[in-house]
Amino acid sequence: MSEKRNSALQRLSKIPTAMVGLFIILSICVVALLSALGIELTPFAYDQTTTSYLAGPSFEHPMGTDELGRDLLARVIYGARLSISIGLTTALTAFLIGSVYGAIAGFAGSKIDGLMMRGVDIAYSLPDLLVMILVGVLLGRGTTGILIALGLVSWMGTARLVRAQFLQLKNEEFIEAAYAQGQSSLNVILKHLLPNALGPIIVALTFTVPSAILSESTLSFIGLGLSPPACSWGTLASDGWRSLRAHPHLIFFPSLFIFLTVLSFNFLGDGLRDALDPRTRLDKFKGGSGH
Amino acid sequence: MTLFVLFICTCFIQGGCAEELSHLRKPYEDGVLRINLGTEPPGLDWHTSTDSTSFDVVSNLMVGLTQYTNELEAKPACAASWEVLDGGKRYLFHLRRDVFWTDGKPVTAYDFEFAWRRLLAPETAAQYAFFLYDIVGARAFNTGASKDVNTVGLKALDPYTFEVKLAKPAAYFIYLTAFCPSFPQRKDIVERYKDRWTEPENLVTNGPFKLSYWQHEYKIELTANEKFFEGAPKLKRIKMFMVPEASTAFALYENNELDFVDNRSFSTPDVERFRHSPQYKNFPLLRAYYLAFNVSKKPFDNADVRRAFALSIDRKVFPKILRRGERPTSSWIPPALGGGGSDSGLGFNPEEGRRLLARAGYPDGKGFPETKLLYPNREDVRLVVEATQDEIKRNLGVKVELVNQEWKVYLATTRKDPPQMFRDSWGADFPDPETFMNLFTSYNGNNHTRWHSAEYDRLIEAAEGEQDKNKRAELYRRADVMLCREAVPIVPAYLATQNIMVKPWVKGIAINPLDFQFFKTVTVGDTAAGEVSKSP
Amino acid sequence: MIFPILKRLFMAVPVLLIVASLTFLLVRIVPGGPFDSEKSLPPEIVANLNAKYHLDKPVHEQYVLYIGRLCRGDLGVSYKYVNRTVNDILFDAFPVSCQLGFVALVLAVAFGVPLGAIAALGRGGRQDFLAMFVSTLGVSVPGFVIGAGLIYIFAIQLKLLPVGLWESPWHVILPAVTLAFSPGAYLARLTRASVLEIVEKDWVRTARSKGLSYQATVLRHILRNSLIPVVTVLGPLTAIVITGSFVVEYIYAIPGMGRFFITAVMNRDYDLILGTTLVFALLLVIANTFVDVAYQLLDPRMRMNAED
Repeated sequence: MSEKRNSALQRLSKIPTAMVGLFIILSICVVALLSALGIELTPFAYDQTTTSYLAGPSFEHPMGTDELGRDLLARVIYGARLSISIGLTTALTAFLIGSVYGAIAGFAGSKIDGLMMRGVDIAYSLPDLLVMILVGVLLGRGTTGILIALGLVSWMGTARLVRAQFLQLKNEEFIEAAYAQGQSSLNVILKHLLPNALGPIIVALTFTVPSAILSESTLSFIGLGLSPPACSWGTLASDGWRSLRAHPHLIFFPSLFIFLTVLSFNFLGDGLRDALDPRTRLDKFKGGSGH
Repeated sequence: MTLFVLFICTCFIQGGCAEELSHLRKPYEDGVLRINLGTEPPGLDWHTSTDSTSFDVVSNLMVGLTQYTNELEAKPACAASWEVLDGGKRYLFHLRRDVFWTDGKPVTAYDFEFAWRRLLAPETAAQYAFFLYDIVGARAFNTGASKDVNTVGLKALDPYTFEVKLAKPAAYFIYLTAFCPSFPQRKDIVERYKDRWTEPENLVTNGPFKLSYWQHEYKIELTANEKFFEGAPKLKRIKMFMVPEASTAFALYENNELDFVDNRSFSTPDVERFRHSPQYKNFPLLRAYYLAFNVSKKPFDNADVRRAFALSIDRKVFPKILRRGERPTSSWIPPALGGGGSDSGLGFNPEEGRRLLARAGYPDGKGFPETKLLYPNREDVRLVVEATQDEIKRNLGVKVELVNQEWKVYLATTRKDPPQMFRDSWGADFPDPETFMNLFTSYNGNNHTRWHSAEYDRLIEAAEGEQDKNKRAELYRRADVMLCREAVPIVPAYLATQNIMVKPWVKGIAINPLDFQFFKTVTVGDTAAGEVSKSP
Repeated sequence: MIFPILKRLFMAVPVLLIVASLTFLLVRIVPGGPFDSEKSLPPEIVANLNAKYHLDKPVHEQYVLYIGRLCRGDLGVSYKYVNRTVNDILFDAFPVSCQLGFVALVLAVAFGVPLGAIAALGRGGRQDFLAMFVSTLGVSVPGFVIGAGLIYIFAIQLKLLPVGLWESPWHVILPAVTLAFSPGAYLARLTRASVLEIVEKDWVRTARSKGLSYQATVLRHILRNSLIPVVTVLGPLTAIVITGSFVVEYIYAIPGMGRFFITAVMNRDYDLILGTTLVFALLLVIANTFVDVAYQLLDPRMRMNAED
């Protein structure tokens, strides 16, 4: 199994866009982590007001300032923390809920499976933003509310994948062997089934993160996002929307970072999917960029 | 494939160019005024919908006993003349005979009698019921102490004579008759249609325009009332759109899709860009923005805490971030109405604030309970409360949490159960300090602070009846000091300005510090032919 | 033939029922009812209002009443818009959203599919990268940013199109284009993948080896066959368009269902929330049913791509 993983990683490294994406993601995560650890990366704090209102990019404020004179670079860095953590937490929540749900469905009998899949269908019948708005209003503003709302709409894809994998692998030989050895069902799930199913799940989760970041920014735009002065990229972008013509830097920089991050995750996800699928020929990556 | 795509694009561009050329030719329609209301008015019943959006619509649909001139005098409207008798305690209004409702029936004194009684009726739960409290028996009837409507001193003596008896003389009373809540209503219409009487198909009005179309969350259309007693207005039609996004609305204006924009359609960055345009006008309003405390919630039941907060806010930051010439104020009476004495309110003094906070038991803000500041979901308000939050944090060390709500929910919350702090605003209903000071009496339905003081009520009542100008001013000043310096249930922040932009083909937009938008004197088009200027 | 379609549609009913029930529950749990604001109303009046709207009954009774009403097609009454029925409101708003959504879908197909095909045919090269970059742009930026950009370029700078409102056919263009970005990008990626698959197939090679020109092969065989998976994703496409419409209707000031939904949620306008949710769910269910049926009707050997 570890051989498979190694070769997968090797294959991944051959895909230029995926590597670029990975690099960008890691850089942003490093910056976010440093900021979270309290290391000052800019001379200004994210909520520190100054008297230079709505200044354009300059040496002192590389990304300019907002209406209250706060340094945009500092806020974008703080926003990185929030946006990335929101994205990752949503992916984690989706993973947990989805895996458990899918595992039960795939493992249990066909009746329960059928019922649970109906449940997934119904969940798919509700447009995700709609559910998020309802839940967001229910739980009020604040990070927890948003995370729960985001998690509630992201688990279905993972559930379906896990279930499909489980159904497929359930009858494989090595599983039979494990049972023969006397291992409990839980053991089988955790030690054998899940690790094998991990590939496509990780790919799916890589797409959950950017989707969560985008959904969060839309929620902020509607007014259900985080409260000031907390600022995710989404909040920053939606605040800057009003000043598009007079002060485009307010919407430009946060949107740029959203774009880069989402793009990177998408490239990485595509790359992972190609790398993990043994049938994909990688020679198409030679002699040109793009996948 | 590419050719096909290109072909489609050319079609669009050609079509678009034609559209643009036609824009150049005629970016407006003669006699049609397009404005932005911002939000959907919660309703048009002028007894229960008392926000400025509803008023803007109603004040073009209806006239009352009197109406405002541009200089804010009360001049005759439905009432041709009136007599002030018994030393100011009795008013006799003699109505005109040529004012009609849009269904042809004449406007009579019975319509006023019905409307005023309905305003005071407890079932109506009108927030502006206090408006008529000067009338004999009005307060008792409204609070349920008296169940007999005939004890209220208002009566239609005959179809064209309306008599009002006041408990004590009130200098400002005549102004009240120009304001929306006092407009007449038709008993038969209201009783027949009940909750739906303000729908376009049911509503009858007596003003310069009538309600012809209402597409919810989108637009209201008013058309000229040819039978209006002052003559049909020059405008054929007013289209009042509801565009909540200020920047979208402003872009609409720039694109000649709106003819007139005001504060609702201005974002701070837009002001910067158009400050120097000839279409831009900026003038002070009799509207104040303030921070309010819910004094029934700890720790704001302690006056020291409230005073500490008041002292910690440097109001000079507001005009800097809003950039529309706002006037910071620490007094509740606007300078234009005789207020603003520097000793009326608490200025910016952070050390004193910290001292008071320590005395209250929270040195440097330590241990201060979780505090919420409620504000409505409007762009500029967000800036103001963020700045306020920042000031409080920097000067007192207290972290305040900002909570925002959609406009209607915010209105409901401040009425029902506001959190410890909330941002509020008050625009004058008539040009007299009474309209401001009255707000914080114990019986005013718009006082959401839960603060009241018998002493304050007494001062206001005395001032209402006081005939001597100087004595009256002194009474209001004393009340102002109590409000802004001693008890401090509110922290006045700044006085607003109105910012408008008017297209060159629109004439006659009235400007007044009460922020009333009357459109009966407006014309669109009819300017010298061919003089169409491009938008800025 | 008709029978499977009817059967599928029939299966949709329990789904809708469950959606209605879930939303009912969700909305009732939310603190703050529609009449809470009228605190200054005498208690008798509040009681009367509550009785009128059956809000005084226990929740399960309200639920039963509600389901009964739904079966009759009565979606209830709005609290904010003073007793206008939800049916009235949706009747006005639905066509607006439909027009917008439909045009957006058409645009998404008209531009997304060719884009994906172009990318696939120039596989690995600059054409591919450029086309995919453009499509990924569509999904990597929030809707309101795209809207802002489009408004800025086309309405403000070039003055070609209106900035907002819903007054003429010209007003449809920018909102529809903004709305079409996301599904268009999704379609582009999907088309690219499915075209790539087909191109590998033997029978295509055979056709080309027989001497058919490149263009002819493309147009006649590949495109036709790869459009099939496109039809099957109509479900998710509809979902994308619906959720995108909330933001688009807001920034362009369009009186569609999305705007009413958002306002209804903010106002705790129960029946309006439920009504709009149900209509959206119904649209999605119809789209998904269409997909299932199309899936059956068209080549059953065709397997769905792994792309979700």
